Amino acid sequence: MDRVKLIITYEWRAYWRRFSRAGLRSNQGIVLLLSVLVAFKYVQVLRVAAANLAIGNAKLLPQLLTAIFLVWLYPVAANRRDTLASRKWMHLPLALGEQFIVRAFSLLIPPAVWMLVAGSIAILYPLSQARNPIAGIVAGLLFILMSWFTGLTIAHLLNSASWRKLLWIAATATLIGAGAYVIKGGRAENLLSAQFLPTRLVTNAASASAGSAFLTSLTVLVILTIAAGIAAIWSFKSSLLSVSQSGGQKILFSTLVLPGRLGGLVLKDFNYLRKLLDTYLGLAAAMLTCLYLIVANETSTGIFWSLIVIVFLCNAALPFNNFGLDNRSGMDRYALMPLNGRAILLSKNLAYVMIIGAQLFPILVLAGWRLGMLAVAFGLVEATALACSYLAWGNWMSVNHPLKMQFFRFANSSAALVDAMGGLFFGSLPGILMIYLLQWPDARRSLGVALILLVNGALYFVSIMHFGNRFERRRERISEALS
Amino acid sequence: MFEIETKNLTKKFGRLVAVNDLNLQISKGTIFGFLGPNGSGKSTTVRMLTGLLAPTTGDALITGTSILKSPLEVKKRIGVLPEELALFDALTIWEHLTLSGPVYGLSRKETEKRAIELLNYLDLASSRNTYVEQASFGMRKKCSLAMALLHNPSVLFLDEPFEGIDPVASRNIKDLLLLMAGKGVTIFLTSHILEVVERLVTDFAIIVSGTIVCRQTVAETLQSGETLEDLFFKHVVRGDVGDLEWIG
Repeated sequence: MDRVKLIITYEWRAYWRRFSRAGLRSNQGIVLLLSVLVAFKYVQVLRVAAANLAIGNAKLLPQLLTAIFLVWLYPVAANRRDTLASRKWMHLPLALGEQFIVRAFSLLIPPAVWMLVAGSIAILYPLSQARNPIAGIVAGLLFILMSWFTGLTIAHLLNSASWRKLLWIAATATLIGAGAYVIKGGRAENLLSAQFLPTRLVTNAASASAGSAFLTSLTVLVILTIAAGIAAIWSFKSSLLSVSQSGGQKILFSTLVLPGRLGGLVLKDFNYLRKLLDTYLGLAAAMLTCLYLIVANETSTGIFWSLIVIVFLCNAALPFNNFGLDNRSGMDRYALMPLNGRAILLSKNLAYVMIIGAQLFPILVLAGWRLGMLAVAFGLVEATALACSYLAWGNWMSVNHPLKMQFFRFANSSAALVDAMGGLFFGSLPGILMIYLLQWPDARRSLGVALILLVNGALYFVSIMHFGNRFERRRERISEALS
Repeated sequence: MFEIETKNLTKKFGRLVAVNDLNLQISKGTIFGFLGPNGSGKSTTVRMLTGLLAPTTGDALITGTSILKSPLEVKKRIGVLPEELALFDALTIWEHLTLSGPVYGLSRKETEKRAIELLNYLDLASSRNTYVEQASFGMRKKCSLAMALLHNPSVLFLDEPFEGIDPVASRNIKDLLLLMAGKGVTIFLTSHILEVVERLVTDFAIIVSGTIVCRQTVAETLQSGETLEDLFFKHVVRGDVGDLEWIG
């Protein structure tokens, strides 16, 4: 155990060194303020849940537990650069169990995770007010542990190409099923408290009146937690032993050729972006939009335009950290090429446009069928304005706040969390304004739409000119942040 | 006019002077060896000459063009095998080459033709679809070398080109460098393998702690009855193995 303690100590040291080197301390005051506000609201919700549970009403509990489960998927988004890679410990005489403990604990080092732990443990407060407080607390702890193991398992499995496919199919099927249920008028909260879900098991353990009911729920939760633990260790072992990190080249993408001097670079970044989970989140949003356009009895232009904004929101992190998937070696290659900073930024922007374009194309085709060509034309203008505004903000963030990202994880903009949140608002603004313009008369609306497009086009132009030059001056610092 | 000319080239990292007032002139068609122990300033010099690092003071002219005033013009004319290879993750060897050619103005067809010939020569043809992160160090080095050669540069910078390379490829690279120098390409290389340097280069300099301590031709060295290794250790201090009594 001393060896494990020693390694975790060095992990801790390495984390804080990277933390200070990457300049993660920017905006920490505002992040803290936001965290306090969220915590304040959370405590209020917990109080309501506790009061409800005390009188036998458990409606809010499944929603809170679902939020906790999703929060513990955090290892899927975690930046592996924060810790020392587990593979590097492999040459040391450490048992698998010891390596797993190092891996699990090293993910708990970032301060943001301490808040997740505190927030999760706080769920025990409403559970302690339920009919069976002890059973509720035990079930709550088991649920947190199970969520942690599930997050770890998924993070490990994402290293394998075949598991990625399986997980994608499962997630898509679940999403389409749930989406179709809600579009057809079903209530979303019914999905969260379905009989077989762990959230329901915790609720049962805490509030069931019959002893056998809460014992059964606890037993099933224990079995699920042990299974999740075994899956986490097994997937960890597999991820250590697997040689390949990249999936096989898809035939479609390996034969794709783009013209021009920048064609190869655009294709390279397109291949990079399609290896981030945000792209698949955007794809899922696009699929739900298509589903809406196919199955909804009545479709509206307002909802169609809003869904375009949501597709952009799901992809928002992609342009905010353009260099995050490059490393020092790749940055050196950019420097060796006879290309200026503007050309390099443009190649990255075009790759983002390809990703967004692929997601929006079927939506626009279906919208043409359901809503007519005028709605599609405005939708296209909206998408262009949104792309311009996201890219304008993203070019600024990419050059000023680069942070190393990892393939098959969510894109990471946490080097400047508040700026990223500002980017979500700024980027979505053209779409929000266009939805607002729906209330205007036709002639004024067209003028307003043209103005939105013009302003955002101009902003993008200024951004690529200015931050292209700035990239050249900051290239060394960006390389350092990525190494 | 010299193909490579540095004028008081200096690089400082805080208080550390990595390269101090470097003045070099290298003629067209020369194979120039830049030697020195680890941390002596060799790679920093190469990084400055190839636009990877801005000098603190001084300038350098490559084929008469300033690296400070016209960096893009310089980059079009040079080929570089950098110390860290400068490869992208998650791309295959073939993709690196087909990405690189058009950036230097080659047509796609010409890029593919040259890429196939280079891969065959460097014994990489069967590994062309290997991802660089899965390739061996030698394969990655050959990939980076192929990228340096693809656009037929007039000046070639090679940082440790023979390290981690198998004997066949090493011999092929030497033959290629001699052929290129014969056709007027200027080659600036760093290496720790002194025997290879002695047989390959015509002209060399030894740099220690950022300062040139020796500059002469290989012919001059041999005439003085010394080997390059003898000359090297005149300027570089070695550790004493006797200090490691506990080993063994």
